[in-house]
Amino acid sequence: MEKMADITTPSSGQFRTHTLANGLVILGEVSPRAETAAVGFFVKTGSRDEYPREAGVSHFLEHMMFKGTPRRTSLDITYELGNIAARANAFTSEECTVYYGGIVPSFFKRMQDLLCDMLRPSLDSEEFAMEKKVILEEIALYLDRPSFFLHERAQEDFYRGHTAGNSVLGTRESISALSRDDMHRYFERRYVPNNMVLAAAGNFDWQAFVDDAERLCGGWAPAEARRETPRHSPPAGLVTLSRPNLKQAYLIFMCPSASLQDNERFSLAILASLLTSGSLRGAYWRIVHTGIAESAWADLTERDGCGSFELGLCGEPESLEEARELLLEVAANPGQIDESDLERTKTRAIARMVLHDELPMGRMMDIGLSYLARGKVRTLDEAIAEISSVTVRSIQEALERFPLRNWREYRLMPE
Amino acid sequence: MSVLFSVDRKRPRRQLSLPSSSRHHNVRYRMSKAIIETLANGLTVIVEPMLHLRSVAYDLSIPGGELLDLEGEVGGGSLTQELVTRGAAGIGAFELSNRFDEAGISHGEGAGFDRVSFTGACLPTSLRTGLGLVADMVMRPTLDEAEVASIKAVMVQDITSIPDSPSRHASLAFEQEYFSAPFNRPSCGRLADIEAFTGGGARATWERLYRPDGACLSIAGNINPSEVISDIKQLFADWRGTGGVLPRNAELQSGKAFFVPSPSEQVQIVLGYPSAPFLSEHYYAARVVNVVLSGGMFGRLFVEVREKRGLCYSVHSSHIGQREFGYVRAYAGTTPDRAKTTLEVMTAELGRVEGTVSAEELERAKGNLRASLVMGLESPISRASANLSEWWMKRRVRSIEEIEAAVDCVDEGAIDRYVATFSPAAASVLTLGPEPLLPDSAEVTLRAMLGAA
Repeated sequence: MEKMADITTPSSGQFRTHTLANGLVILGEVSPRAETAAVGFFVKTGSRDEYPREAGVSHFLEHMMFKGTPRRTSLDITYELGNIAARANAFTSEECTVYYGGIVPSFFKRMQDLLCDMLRPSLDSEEFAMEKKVILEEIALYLDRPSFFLHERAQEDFYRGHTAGNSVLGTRESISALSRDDMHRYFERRYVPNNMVLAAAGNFDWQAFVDDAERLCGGWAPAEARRETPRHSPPAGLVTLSRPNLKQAYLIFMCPSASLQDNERFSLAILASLLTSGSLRGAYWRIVHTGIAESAWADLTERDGCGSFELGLCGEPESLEEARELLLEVAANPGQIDESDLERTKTRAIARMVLHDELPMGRMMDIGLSYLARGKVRTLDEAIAEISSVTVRSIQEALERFPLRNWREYRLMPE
Repeated sequence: MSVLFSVDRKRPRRQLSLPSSSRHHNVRYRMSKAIIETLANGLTVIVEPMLHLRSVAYDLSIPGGELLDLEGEVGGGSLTQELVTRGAAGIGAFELSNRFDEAGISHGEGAGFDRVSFTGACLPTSLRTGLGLVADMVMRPTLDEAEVASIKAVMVQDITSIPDSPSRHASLAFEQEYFSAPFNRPSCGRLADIEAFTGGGARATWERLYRPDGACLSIAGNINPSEVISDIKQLFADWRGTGGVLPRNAELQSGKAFFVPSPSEQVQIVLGYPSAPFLSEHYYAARVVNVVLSGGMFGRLFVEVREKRGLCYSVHSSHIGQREFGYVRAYAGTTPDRAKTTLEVMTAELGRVEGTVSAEELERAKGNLRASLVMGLESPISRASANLSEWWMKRRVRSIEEIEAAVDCVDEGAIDRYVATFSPAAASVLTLGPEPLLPDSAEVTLRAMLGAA
């Protein structure tokens, strides 16, 4: 085997943290040579924190954050984002909601001011009614995507009886029934300063960032924002769904696995990469490269306190059985790993991480999300060390705690 | 689920994926230090040092893609490109892939509309390895006949699955109807052509297109230009010949209505009308107008269709400037009972630009266009690809300052002159959904993808 490239150049950023009296955690990695900066709020709230009658409120509220505050109308927000040429967006998952902007250093202060203002929204009733229509369209959009549809149904079934399976979008019924006051109650419960993190990376002034955060967010009142995080281990099973007019068949296997907090997650994530394409036994080489299906993969989906290992494929319905058998073979003896395959897979993972984290936007995302998951920051060097520490033995030990068995299988077939 | 963009979460994941970021108009730009050199064999090399970063990226592109497929072989170029990655210089596909991984190179290879591209990003110490592997693939591919059947099988699945994705279905159908040949060829290839394609066809395609004269290799990142150029001269010294010549001028269909029947939840609306080509004096006015219409969340389409009326989740327009033709492509997806109003509001906004752009709106649009023109130039991969695209169109690479100056020249008069020349009154519209949206729509099927010319 050839010598692996040395890609573990140390990171150049300076890491800083500060916590306001109300519990808002402020994180920053300052890189004076960067040409841009990125700043964002990471809120530890998502669909799993919703009561059943609130289904979809986290995501709907994410949209409403752009729809006006006591200081700004919806159009004021929209035009200010345009005036400072921000690359701004937001997203909602089962676990968290993130609002962020990439910006030139001279507009950092305005971006921070805007984000801090947006996170105290008016939730105007007319805007609420208008945006509800947009959310219903977004639900329709995803219904037109079979792979997404199956993924949602699989999450919902796998986590039955556990909030981690709550749909991010909600349903037409739940969104139609949701009131502005329901949303306000959810906001009051979840958007408390001690349940969120303000993170920045790149070329910005740390002290000004902290001072502005104190001025803009220091008055936000803290409150308890709890989340239950039990483990979840559903039994093996098969769920078959069908839709008319479908051309391809879609398949997902899921079994319980490591959470965002389990140390085994690095070993299992590397294993997923090995099982996808890192070895000749991998799903890509046996199933896609040979033309049997259009795509095939393995993945670790880590969640707060729980997690799943997943296998998936998409292909012609006629070849589904053959591809399915091969996919199960791929995952059958996961601990049998070739050392050189492992080293190469680790090198690839580290290279991708270094390239991703080289720019402020990537770095800010990593800082914010890892703090939200584990309550501490990790530098790029620590992240590299975590991947470097994976060995054949550590994967085998991870598999003893989180074996690949008791699969729940989900199929989406043409009717 | 994002407020602006939606992402399909479980798709094949074998592409190069790097974060985009942005540079903006008030950054202290360095003058572009891109060095351009044409080698004796005709290969153009562009090198731009970015010494404040620690990575480097490359993009080697040759004229190709569906535009240069022979008639009866549409999709053959894509198949050949995949075959080239499946073995070269005596090693197989898995071993090739391993060599990239061992060197820590994130890489991607693909055939597009008018080119075949080999891209990658890594630390500077691995650049020579990456370029060596690319040289092996383009100069010494194995082109193993035995691999052809499995590549075909995946391409055929890709084509037959098009109706599972209504937005892709609508796009492909629109391109098929809107452009003259060969610009109307489907990016996924034609089913009958792919089924008839052979290993011999792949070898002939490689002989015809994978040549240095007409190709471009662009590098950006933490590198020493003279060392890199010297490496490239060594690695590509034995490459010989002239590649394909791209056709330039497409004819666009004016004032037509098309309809694709589909049981989709949302009606897909795709609309196109002629606009300024890359080389036109109106090019930057066209770009500014498109930002007025569709820049971020402040564009008129987003504000009028989504923010004020809640008619849909996705609505946007793009200006596409090829070298010698250009067009605006607008899109919306919405449920059937809102589709007619959506189309009416869209066309009203597209049609009311003349004399309505305020000074404030113009400044905001120009500021954003400057930002998005240079957006992503922060990362080596986007800088390398942007320099390559400049050369592809203009045969030179402008500095950021030159492009900014061109944007700065756009004033109310320039916008009025652009709008007077290119009117959305010439638009053609395609809708996909349960029922036709417009009277007298011509019903369309994906015949081009399925075989018939």
